[in-house]
Amino acid sequence: MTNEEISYSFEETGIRVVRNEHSARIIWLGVWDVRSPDVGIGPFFKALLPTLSGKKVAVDFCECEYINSSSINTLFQLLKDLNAKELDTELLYNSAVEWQRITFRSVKTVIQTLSHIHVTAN
Amino acid sequence: MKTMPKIIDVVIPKSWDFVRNVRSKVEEELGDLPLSLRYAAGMVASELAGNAIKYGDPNGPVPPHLSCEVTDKKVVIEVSNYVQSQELVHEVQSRVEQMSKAEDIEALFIKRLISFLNETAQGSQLGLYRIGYEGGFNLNSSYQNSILTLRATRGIP
Repeated sequence: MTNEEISYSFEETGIRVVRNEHSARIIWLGVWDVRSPDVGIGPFFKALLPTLSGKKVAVDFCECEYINSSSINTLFQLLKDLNAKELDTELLYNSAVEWQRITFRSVKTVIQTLSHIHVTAN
Repeated sequence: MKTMPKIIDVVIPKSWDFVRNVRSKVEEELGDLPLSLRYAAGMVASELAGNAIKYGDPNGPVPPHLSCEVTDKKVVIEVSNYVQSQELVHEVQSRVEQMSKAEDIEALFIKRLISFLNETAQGSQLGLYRIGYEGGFNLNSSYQNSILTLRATRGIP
């Protein structure tokens, strides 16, 4: 099975998508402290969504160094879009990193209404 | 209690680069404190400075300002900026008051996140809730002569 990789960056943020016929991993990289991530990154996610149909998706935060509150909005929009397309999605975070543990504990509670999204600690 | 000088005391420029830089600057300056507190303080400074740039009046007579002070018992981060919109001042002060009275700050934060998920949240200010919940800082606000000041305080263990 051949993996295809796409990278996208905006200011200090980065996204790497690794996908094959059956799955796709959306890896959030770097420091997410841009002023308007919806403007800078949102269009990339919108364009990516149609290419994910039929795949099992992972949204991976383990390598992310920081996320500001504006970027939480961008994450929620991505998760809502994935859920609306009924794509089974695993949101991964690193429980050894304190800020990720605190942030994603709340996120896990909040996104219980999105039936296709599941939060998993690595 | 021993009082120490402010380790950061700067005017906030209009450039968003400041928001990025102040987070690492605060973390660096608090080098002797536990990592979790340094991280939280950096996040607090970044969120408050970001709010000052986003919502402050850039043409006000007084530029926005950020300071960080450390004593042997607490870390204090303070941001002040010129605001003319009474609506904005009321919104910020209401949220700060709501947080100060909350018995369960996590529940309040989650409620705010749910509003965002459901797109019912008006305005932003999610950062204020992060400061209280994720950062563990207490927030106070004051408004005088069109200057809105937010003061975040956390004890040092």
